[in-house]
Amino acid sequence: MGGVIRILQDFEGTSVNRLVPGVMAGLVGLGVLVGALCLVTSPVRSVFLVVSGVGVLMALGTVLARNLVHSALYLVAFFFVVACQFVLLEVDFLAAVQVLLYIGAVAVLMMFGIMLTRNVQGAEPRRRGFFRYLPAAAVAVGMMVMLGRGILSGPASEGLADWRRQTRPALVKEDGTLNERGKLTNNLGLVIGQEMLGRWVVPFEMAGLLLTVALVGSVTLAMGERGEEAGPGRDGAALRSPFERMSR
Amino acid sequence: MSGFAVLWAQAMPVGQAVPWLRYAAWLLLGFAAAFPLVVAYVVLAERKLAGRFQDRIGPNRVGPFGTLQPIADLIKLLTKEDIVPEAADPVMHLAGPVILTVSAMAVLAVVPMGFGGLDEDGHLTGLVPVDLPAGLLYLIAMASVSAVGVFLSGWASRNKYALLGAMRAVAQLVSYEIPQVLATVPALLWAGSLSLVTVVDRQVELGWFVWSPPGFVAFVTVVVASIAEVNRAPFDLPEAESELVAGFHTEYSGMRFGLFFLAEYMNVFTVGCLASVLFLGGGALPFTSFPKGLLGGSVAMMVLANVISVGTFAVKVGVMVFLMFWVRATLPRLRVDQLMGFAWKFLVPLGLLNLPISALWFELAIREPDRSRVMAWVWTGFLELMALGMVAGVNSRKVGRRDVVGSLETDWVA
Repeated sequence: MGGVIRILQDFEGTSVNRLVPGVMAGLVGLGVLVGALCLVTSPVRSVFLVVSGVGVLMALGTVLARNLVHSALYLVAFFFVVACQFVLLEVDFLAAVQVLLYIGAVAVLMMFGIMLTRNVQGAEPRRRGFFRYLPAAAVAVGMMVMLGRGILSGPASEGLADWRRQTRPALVKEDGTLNERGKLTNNLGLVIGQEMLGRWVVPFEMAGLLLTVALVGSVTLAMGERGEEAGPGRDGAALRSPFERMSR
Repeated sequence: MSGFAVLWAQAMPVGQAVPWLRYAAWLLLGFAAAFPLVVAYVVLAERKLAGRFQDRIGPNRVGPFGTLQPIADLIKLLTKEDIVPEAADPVMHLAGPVILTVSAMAVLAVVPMGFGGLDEDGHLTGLVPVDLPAGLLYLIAMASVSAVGVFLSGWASRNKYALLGAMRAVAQLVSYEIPQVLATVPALLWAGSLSLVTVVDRQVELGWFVWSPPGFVAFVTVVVASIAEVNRAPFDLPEAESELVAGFHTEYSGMRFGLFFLAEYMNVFTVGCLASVLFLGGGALPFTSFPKGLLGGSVAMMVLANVISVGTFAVKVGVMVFLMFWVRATLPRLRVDQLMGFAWKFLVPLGLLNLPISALWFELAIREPDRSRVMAWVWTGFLELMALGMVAGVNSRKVGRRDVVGSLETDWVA
């Protein structure tokens, strides 16, 4: 319980501080209600809904937390919730990839970036205001509508789930052989590998080329021009500054 | 190792019929009892062996030959005061060690400790909590979460030493993950699956993957990179005592410190397990598929086969863990530039060059297992030596003050 109170304290002093606990409590209440309803009809779906509700809370925390590192940690929790959803959808390969890439690499690099560039302890509150959120909210909602339309209007392949249908086809056909979905679930790594080096080989290689270009470009930027190498005399102040700021 | 008795529950028919019973057995008897106990005695073994290496006796007061020392340590840690610095971020301060311990525990969920049973096609089912089709990916993913725990504990302590330790740790974890993953690829390529049980099953059929030039190089790389991943000497810069007090866990005491301790030795155990499963055949005996043949028979034969395979696995893990203690007692700590240089200039190029050579081994030896492997050995051995020479040569070409690093790196492996 103490943890919840501290999480709520995170939102103090923001312009939405009165709104957020109410919204969170309302969402939790709604989640409990819907969960109780669904538990009767479909246990797996209710687990999915509860997990998704936690995900929504974590997403809210990411956007609204005052401390930058707390915000990053909420994001880590959100990525983990997405991995849990993948597990509930029986694609453990994607769940592992989600954790490996988004928590193991992206979030860690983000934290590293916070340590190197900003006020190290992240204690300085971010400037905020309700109207600052409006453009971001518009972009987010627009993106959601676009992706939702795209996904819902896409046709399903033979033996795979259609997004508009609420049930998924069985893993095993009547004659005992594996359905398309069963094959995917059994060895998704193999199937993705074959697709990537078969049908999608050109986009795959293009993505690789793009990443190489980005890597070389960043190395070039980081190296700077010749003779401008960072020495302790010139750049020492900049290097030490995070720790000086911390000790104040 | 008394806890292993209960792990056979899985191999039994009742365990196959009622899955939740199996999971409950693994959780209660494996993750809550056997693994922490193993870890406690790994700590004792390290202290005893470090004593031998340093010409001391080591702990010998509690119980016969000091065998109750871990229990005494545990009681001490539990009863010590749990101090949280006033300036620290209390939630994050707790979250750090918890995330680290969870990541260290969760990794073990896909490691096959023995043979288990046989499925309809005659493949092993593995003595494992969960046989995920993407097991190795899961293992690496959960291990990479530990970076978040290390960062949080260093950041939340509001201590310069802790923060410096965390920065070093994150840089090191991110760097050494790459050679580690590159070095696991040959085993996956030869097994044709990400499932660790399948990797073991293929090694029973084809012989241990370490018996090949690319396999040996990958094995050494995976061990070195994993030691760096778990912050053990000589890669223990994040907690370098002489520079950073205790690094990222400077501000921890009592059982929170105990959790760091548990996670570190759990990780040592996991590195032993990973190396054994990927390259040393898991529970397989060398040059024979012997205990696998017993699996099709009666329940007693099945139990016997599992005892043999679990015992073999335990011996391999023990040897790997001993190797890590030996390295820790022998080698001095690296400098930061040496650490980064060793990963990026030596291990990563070697891992990349190793991939096509592994593919060649696959074509020459694994695709047709009945053919003589002499040509495969000659070709891949020659190419592997070329690759090693190339990487070592490029690294030690320039002569000058800065290249002490290069020569040291090449001495390390070659």
